[in-house]
Amino acid sequence: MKKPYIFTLSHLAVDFACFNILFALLLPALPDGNGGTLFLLYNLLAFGLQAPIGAFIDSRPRLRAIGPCLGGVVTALGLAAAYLGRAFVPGPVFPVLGMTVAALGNAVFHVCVGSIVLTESGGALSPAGLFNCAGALGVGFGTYFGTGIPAVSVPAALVVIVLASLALWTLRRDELREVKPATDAEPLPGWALALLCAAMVLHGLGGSWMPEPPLNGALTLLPPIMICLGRLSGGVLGDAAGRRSAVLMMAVSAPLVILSGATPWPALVGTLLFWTIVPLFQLTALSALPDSPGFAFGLTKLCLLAGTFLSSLAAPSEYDRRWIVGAAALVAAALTLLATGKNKKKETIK
Amino acid sequence: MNLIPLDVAPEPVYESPTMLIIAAAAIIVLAAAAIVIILKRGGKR
Repeated sequence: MKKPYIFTLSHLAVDFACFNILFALLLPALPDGNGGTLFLLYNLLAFGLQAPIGAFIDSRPRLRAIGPCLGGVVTALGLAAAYLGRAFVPGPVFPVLGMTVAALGNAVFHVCVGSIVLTESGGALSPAGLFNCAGALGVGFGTYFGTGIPAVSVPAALVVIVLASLALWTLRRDELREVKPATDAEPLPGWALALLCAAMVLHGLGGSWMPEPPLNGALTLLPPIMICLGRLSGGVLGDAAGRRSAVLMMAVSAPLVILSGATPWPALVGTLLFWTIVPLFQLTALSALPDSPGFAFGLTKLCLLAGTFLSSLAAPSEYDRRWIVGAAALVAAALTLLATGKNKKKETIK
Repeated sequence: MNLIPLDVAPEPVYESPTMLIIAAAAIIVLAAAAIVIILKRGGKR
């Protein structure tokens, strides 16, 4: 019973630690002009490697069992290297080293826990929603406090990530040693997985270009809080009212995003609705790859990375972004509907 | 929001074509590897 909450809180701790490295330690140590490149490197390592790591752990259940703790420890080592190293060696060397190590720990943590959560979800969306929601808070708080009060935020992140790693260590002997097939139903066909991947890439692109509401100070934490609530409610509502409700909620985000402007509320509500689809993405990927929960989880992150990367190839105006994000939400919703077909709650995954 | 919005970085990445090409190549390699894994694991079923 305690396991889902340990996973959720440790997810927050891992992302909080990583974003403290990036915003409190790495950015201030960089000469002008290198940040974008290093941030892209972080994204490539932390998100691009989840698919191959997931494929690797799928046939190694013992490794998957210790993976969450291992990921936490490696992330903690990255943070400690960046924090302590910078005290002795000025410049970006140790922050870059720490960022690289932490990105690898982040990838291992995410894909191992994601694999466990998907395998044990029994086809329900809410466990994936509960796990995923904390990441947005870790990113938001890590950025906000790491930028605002780094002298407090970084040591706090170090303590929190060490405590999270200890908590994860206590879970290693749980029923994690055996990867059980997640379904005995017919897996989704390849074309459905291809449509789903296209939807996830579009979602990643839309998430990157989501309009930023005019907020200042602590109110800038509202968007990550909305993302958190969106992921959580997408899982809960999808279980209660059927999977298509999550698709519908993402489609409804389109007009809100398009109409958002000087008033922040349409954009904030649109942000919440836009992210409700994430648990469904992950469970549908598992439906297509039922014997590979780690790879299925990593594949969703690879698509997210591809969408985010595509967004870096152009710089449309704020007005154009709204229309692009709205269109991306609608097309991604249609593709997801096509990919899931007539699948309803717990129909393809038992 | 899982990922770092690239526009928060001091220099937008699209102004660094070399890194863009390297990143694109890395993503293409990862995607190709993913397709191979999907085909292999799909074939086992």
